[in-house]
Amino acid sequence: MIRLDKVSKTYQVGDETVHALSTIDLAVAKGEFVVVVGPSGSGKSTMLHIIGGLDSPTSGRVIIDGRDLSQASDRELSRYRNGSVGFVFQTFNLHPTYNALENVALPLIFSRVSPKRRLDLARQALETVGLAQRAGHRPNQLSGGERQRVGIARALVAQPKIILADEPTGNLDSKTGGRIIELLLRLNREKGITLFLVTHDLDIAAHAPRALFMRDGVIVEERRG
Amino acid sequence: MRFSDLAAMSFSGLWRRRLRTSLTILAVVIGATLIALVISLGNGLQSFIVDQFGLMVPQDSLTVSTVERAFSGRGGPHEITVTEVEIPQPFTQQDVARIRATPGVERVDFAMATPALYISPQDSERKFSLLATTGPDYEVSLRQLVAGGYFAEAASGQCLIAYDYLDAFGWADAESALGQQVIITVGKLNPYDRDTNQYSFTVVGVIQSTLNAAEVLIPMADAQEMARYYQDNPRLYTEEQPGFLLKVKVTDATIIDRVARDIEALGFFTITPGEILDEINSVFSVIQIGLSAFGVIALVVAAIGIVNTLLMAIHERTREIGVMKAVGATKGTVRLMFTMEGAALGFLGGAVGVGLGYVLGQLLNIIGSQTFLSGFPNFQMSVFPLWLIFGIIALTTAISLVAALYPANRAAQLDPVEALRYE
Repeated sequence: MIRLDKVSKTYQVGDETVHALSTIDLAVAKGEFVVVVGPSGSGKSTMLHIIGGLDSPTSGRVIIDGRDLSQASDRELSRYRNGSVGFVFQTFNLHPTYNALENVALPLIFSRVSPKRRLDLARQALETVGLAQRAGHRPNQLSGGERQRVGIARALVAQPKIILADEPTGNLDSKTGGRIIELLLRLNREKGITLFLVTHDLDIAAHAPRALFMRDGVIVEERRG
Repeated sequence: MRFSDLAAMSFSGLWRRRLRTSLTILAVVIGATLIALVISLGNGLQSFIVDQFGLMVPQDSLTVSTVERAFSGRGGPHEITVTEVEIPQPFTQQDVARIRATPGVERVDFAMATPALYISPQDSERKFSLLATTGPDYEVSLRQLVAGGYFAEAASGQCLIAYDYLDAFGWADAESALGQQVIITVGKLNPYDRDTNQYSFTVVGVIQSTLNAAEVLIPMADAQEMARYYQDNPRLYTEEQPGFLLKVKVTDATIIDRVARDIEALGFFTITPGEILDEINSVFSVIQIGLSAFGVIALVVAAIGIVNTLLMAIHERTREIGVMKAVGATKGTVRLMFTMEGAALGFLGGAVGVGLGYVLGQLLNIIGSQTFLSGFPNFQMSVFPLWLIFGIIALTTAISLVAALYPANRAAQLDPVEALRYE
């Protein structure tokens, strides 16, 4: 379903060429749960962005369901990000003046879903993450864990095939973080959504069915549990 | 993205920074108000002049002269090559006959100069200036009267006087002016000839206030007599001596241009009311465009403010733009959102500016009608046609839309990964 074929990504910082990713080969099946671990600067976020169509590789191919993302236009990539993937961010990235429901509905605005249907779907997504009763609250009226649930509901609302979570527990205490991981795992299990989870937490990696260890843009180790 | 969502997002973006948005709009408002006022005042003055013109010049009559631009002078000395064209020649009996025979010509009258020194009310030593005029029935009847009626075309010893003479002569009201006697004194063309003659008229009508505030309108027979006395020429304004200008009435106003061309083909020169109106209108257009330039400059400055405002907004909302891209906004959508915000600034500024201009214009109308324009109840200083309202809003919207293109394009080109990382 997801295949990275000799994917490299280099940046030019001043005179220096930074190799964020070096010829990565990876295949992930539908419904898999993959944990990506590595120090900062190891390229794990870059890999996530490339899989999510937010960044493009310098060389190599990214094949999603048989389609090559590196050949896609801005419009096609946008539609892919809109309908096929959901991003969950470490810093939540919620719209400060929108309430939880409106934040969750945001992706549906760009796919021209009617306002009524949009809010219905957003309410369902909030229910899925157990936050239906907080629909009318603004981000600053929510706790960190609640904000991340809103973030997950937003990633979920367009019923994507893939969720890409970039250190979703990085800004949360361990107890709240644990619940967020549980929620993501449940979505993976019950809805069959392919889940990529970037984390520092080796404990999560140890219990994951599949863990990728990255360093300097290379997958140095892969462990299947 | 739906248009309603686009509009809602743009307005919420502007609403979040209300003060900044208001200040940016204020600049647009100033420009729009300026343009609105200048054009509306120009419109008012223009329609006033055109109305006044309509009260003096019939639409179905044209003026014919033997020379082009009978009234214009020349610069330095130049050699005269075609005597009959360059030195004004009076019309001859044959000329008048040819013009009268032109198809579509109903009647031809002499345009008489009516020289007069001064006017006095009967039994009074006081002398007042006047502008004596005369004309055929169809011209006289254009005057709006506040009292009395018109004299018959063949009448003599009757006159219509301008409203302002009531005050000058100390008459209580227009009704009491009717039947009063006035004396017009005429001198001689030769200034060393001190002879004068007095002509007595009965006031039969009072003319509503116009720009011609000292008009005394007399019958053609009296004007003819006065002119003959003035020039010592008993045959002036007869078929043998028609003078330099003729008034030609056509059978129908719609054929006036055709008749004018035919008369010009005979070797004469014509001025139609339409040509004079065109001249007036073009003068006003130039004035309005010239004065509007100040407003346009203000709008250009406002446009720079809009660029600045949008660049700041994009700077502030970099992460939001990143999120929007991450959840499926295309470059085009992002570009549209910020273009829309800019256009909204211009639209709001234009709407408020036109509103403010309208209110100021109405205020001037009220002040004017109660003070210096009280004699012209039909005159509006500020005239706001619909095209002006929509035109200005369209102009400010278009200018801001153009100003928004550069910031919007920058927002569209933001790298989503960097935007999401942006602190």
